[in-house]
Amino acid sequence: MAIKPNKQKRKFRKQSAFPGLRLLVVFVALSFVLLTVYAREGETGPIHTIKSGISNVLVPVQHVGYTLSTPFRALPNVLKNATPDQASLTELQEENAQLKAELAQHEESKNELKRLQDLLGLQSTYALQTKAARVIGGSTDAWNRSVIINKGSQDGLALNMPVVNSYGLIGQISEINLNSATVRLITDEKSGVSAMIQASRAQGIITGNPDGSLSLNYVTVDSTVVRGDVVLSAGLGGSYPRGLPIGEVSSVNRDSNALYYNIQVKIPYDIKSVEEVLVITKLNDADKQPIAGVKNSDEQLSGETSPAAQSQETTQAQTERGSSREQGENH
Amino acid sequence: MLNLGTDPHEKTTLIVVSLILLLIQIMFGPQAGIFDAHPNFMLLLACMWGFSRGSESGVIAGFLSGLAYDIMVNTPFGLMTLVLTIAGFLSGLLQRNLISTDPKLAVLLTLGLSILAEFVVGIFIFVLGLEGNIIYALFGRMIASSIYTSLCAIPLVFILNKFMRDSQSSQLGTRYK
Repeated sequence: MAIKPNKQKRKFRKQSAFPGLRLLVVFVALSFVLLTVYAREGETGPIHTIKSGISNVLVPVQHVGYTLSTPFRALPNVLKNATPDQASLTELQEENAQLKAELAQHEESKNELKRLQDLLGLQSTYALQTKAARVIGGSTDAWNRSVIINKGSQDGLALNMPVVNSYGLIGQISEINLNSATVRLITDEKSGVSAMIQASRAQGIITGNPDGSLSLNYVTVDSTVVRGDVVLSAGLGGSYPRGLPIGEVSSVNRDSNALYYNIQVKIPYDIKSVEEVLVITKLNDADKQPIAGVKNSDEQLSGETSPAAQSQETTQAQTERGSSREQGENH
Repeated sequence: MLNLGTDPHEKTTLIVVSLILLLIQIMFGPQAGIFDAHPNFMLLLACMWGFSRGSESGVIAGFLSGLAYDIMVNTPFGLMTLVLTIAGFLSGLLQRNLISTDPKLAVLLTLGLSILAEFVVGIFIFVLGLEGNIIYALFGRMIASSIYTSLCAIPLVFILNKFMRDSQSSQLGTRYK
């Protein structure tokens, strides 16, 4: 007899005005637990490990999707190039002639530089150890500007390694899995690269804007910056090598009484359409200029080496650079 | 547990469509972005279960699809799980069998839930300091992504509507035999 009221209570509960409310409370609580644990645990924590494991399984599927969507991704460029007007063609021909002349000059300068380098025993700016990789996907959500590449920790890649394409710097590894990695592009809002103007050597920080453009901040108004100036990585902090091209200055503004310029930087290619990249697996010691008192995120990349070993390493790096370029071409 | 219903035809439709949506999200989610607008096929999955099977199924589907989404993105893990769980619950509260009775309303409600979901994610990301410009986030990302997701919902809802109506009419036919 005493069981009857309980049974009635259970029946009443089943006819709730909000079915699934208790389930909602449980799953919302579980979501908060996941959020908290993920934020507090390290890169080797259980959620990170599970996420990384599942991401490894998903990589081949994503690769198939990327391959299947290739014709659609190329469509805007095809449409754009299909209708060049006469003015554009003339402009391109002139630019081509100018570039050929510049190339000849650069060849001469390069030979001269090589001789000087041999004399002084300096390391080449771009003697870097790299690993070629292919882009297999972009960002799934609207909040990140990133690409996924088909190489991961098993290929010797690690977090914070810089990533370049044929033009220059494109980003840094922000997430690493066994056989894939996520590269945070320099256009991402969370990205920051120490940079300098090639001509005046004025230094600042390149950051991404919400609309995907780049700004060069903290360049003091006493330095000379003009539209068209090439912007290079400055190498400060040791995260990125020095001298890698980032883009060109597209506009320079100066507010009255301001200490710094407002500089917009344009990347001369579509950064989201990059297909092959090189991940810099080791920086030259010459590229590393750590700021005093600041611990670099990629300190593990640098190693104390003797000048003799350094020279040997450079030669090896140059050889590997050549082979990785070949790999990239054969890719 | 997910309420699969009694009709085997409808049950199969819901499971197959869920798997297709998951596959589309994995394969084409990263490639389907137009400027900063990205469709959220996992939200469609949660709404589909909520609209057709009620809030309990909506909550479970929302939680599972949110987990799947969180694995694929770089935003804080659990954020989309939380948002889609709530979206699945709300979609189930509105009206059961909405897809078969009023597909246009289902698309409109998907737009509303998508805006709500993107807004919550956007605010959270802004508060965490991962997004600097709230105005751009609101109009360049949230609204654009919500509209994109709703546009993707149109073919899905109408295909499901056709399947479910066919299934219901065949079931009625067998009952009156």
